[in-house]
Amino acid sequence: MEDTAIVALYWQRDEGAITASEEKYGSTCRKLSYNILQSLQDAEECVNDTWHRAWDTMPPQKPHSLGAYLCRIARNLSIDRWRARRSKKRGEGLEELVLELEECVSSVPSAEEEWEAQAAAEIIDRWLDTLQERDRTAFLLRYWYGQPVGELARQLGGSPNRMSQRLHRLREGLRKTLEREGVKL
Amino acid sequence: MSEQSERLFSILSHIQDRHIDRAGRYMGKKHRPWRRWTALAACLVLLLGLGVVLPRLGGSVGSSGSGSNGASTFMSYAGPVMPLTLKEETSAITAQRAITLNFEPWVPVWETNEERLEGRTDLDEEQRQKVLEDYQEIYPEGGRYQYSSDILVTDSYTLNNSTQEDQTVTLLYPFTGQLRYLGAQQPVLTVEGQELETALRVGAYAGSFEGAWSGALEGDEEGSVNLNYAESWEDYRDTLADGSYAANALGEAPDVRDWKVTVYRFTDPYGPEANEEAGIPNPSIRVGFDLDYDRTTILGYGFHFGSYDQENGTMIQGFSIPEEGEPRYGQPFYLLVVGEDIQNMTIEGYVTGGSDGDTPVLEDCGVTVERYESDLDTMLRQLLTQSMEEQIRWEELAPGLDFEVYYRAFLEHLLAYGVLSPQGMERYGAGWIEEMTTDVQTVDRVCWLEAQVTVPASGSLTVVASMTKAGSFDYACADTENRGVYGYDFVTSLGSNLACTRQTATLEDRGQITIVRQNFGFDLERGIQTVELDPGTEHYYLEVKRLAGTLPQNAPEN
Repeated sequence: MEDTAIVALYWQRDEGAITASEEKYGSTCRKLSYNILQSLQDAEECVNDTWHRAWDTMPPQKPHSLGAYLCRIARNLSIDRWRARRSKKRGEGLEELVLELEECVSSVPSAEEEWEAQAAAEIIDRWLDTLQERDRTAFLLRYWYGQPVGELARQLGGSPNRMSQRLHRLREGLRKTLEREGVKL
Repeated sequence: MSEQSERLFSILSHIQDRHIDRAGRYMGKKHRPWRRWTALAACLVLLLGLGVVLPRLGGSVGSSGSGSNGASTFMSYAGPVMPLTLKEETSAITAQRAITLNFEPWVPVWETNEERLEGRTDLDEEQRQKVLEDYQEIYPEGGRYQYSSDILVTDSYTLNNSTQEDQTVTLLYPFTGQLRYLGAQQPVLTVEGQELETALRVGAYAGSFEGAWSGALEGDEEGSVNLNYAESWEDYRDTLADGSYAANALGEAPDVRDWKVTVYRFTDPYGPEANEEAGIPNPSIRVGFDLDYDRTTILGYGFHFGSYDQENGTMIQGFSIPEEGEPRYGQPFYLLVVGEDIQNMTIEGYVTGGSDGDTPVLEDCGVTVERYESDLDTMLRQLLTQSMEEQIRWEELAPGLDFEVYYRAFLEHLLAYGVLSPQGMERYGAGWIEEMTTDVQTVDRVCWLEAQVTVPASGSLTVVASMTKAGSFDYACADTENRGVYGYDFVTSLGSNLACTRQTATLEDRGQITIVRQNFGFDLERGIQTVELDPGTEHYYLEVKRLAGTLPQNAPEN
């Protein structure tokens, strides 16, 4: 079903919207959530929460991209859930991903820079635009969708080692961009 | 694990939908190796794994150091401000030029959280409240200071007509830029305060190519896999030196209507679904054929792996069979044969991409092939129209960019550097059209705004070019002596035939900067902010740092 038709179902308060969302985006959202949480049960609950959140927000929302809208909800819910249980479970899922991103964080203190999420995301958007599509896809599959490196290597080609090198280079590029733009996290 | 990296992970949720959508096409799918089996690809992979590639956002990337004339060579070079010229040289017109460098964008401007929220038209009231709460958590003082390292440049020319007759002249105002960012880079031309109607002329790639190791490895100085961007004003000088670059940009576009092509159009590819467990990781179509490499050139559209055996006169081009929701699903694939037609075409399905001889054949695969005659112009226009629409949709091209400008830029790139050029670059050796369209968006160019004005007999006319100019800089992490320094370049006569009887430069520092290096002769302490420029000096530079204490630590009292 076309995205516009699914959004229309949400607006008509037709519960078929959730069925259609599940059919079209359930697998992606579930995988994304699992990559972060490393728990099938938690991922399942997050995806169910995603449909509820979508139901609660459409209307008034009419997202331009339903896929990005639903995935973003699932990602944020998964991060929230991960944070909630952080004290109980360490060293897996998001923690592993976040540890890798440590390299992108400036170690040089800056008194003049402040953190602002949207502005930083805009900088990251521009940086992503500078990448070749394959690099951009690799970075996003890893750090937006949380794909394991081995799986990424199989999907995009090359060995896991080569993929790790590529991700390292991409993180280094992002770190430089964030530093250059004065983003202090 | 730090809070910062966790925060960065969360921040990624805010990136634009288009990035999420594009990468998301690969989510939830079976593993589908995306591989290219070409000699070119081997070089690229080597480069990706081990080379040094720095990001660039509108500037050129190089290594820092000292340039000529005491100026720095920055790692990211934004290009010089160049002088107005006339399409036809005439002694009847002379000019007085006055440049103003205005650092107003450096002035921190307080933006309240509410003001920032005004730009978020995508939110409903409840969400606005939530976002406002977020802003207030991040900026408990109620807002933040906004500032930039761009400057505003006004490049003003008083054109004097020494004759007794009105003189109608065609102005050409040059600027450096990329097709992707033209919207922000393009100057505005005014005459006596009224905006001029201008035509955009776009030059070809203003850089060169280099080997996979960017010359960093002994023995690898030759090669043409990587782009080698202009790093200094001298590079632009060399580009414009013999006039051929400008003549090409301002002359007629290449005409390829007489280039006959044989078109092979592949539609409705089908095959078993990908199933890694069943040994079918990436169902693919391979198209093999014989050709005489001296008489035939192949351009591909949609194909993404291939092998090229010149010795035996064979070629394989291939693509993964797209599943619903994947890129290129439902779209045709093309091979454009320029020159003698290919022979003995075979089409087979394989369990994965590439041209390895031991890859198992996959039964029950196929694709519909249509062969017809056309010409290169017709075919490229057809394919690039789709490509351009998609690039604008993904914000990879400036919105409103004229197709003819884009088409011409592509065509010139193809004919100069692609497989149709006798001096084709390794970078484009596979012959895939999409590989060139990506570069066409982002390479540095010299562009011109063309407009006609009439200078009255024995009178004068003032033409002003206004633009936002980015600074050149070194990456902060490189820890060079130029950390925090921004450079702005100006040239007095490069590429211009307009006789300037006087040139001046004015610095409006707005109290934001300290000068690190320059050859203008500004002296902020002594109040010297307007200087005469020597026409014998081709290049002026200004390198500045933000003045300490110019970024307020606290919110304004009101």
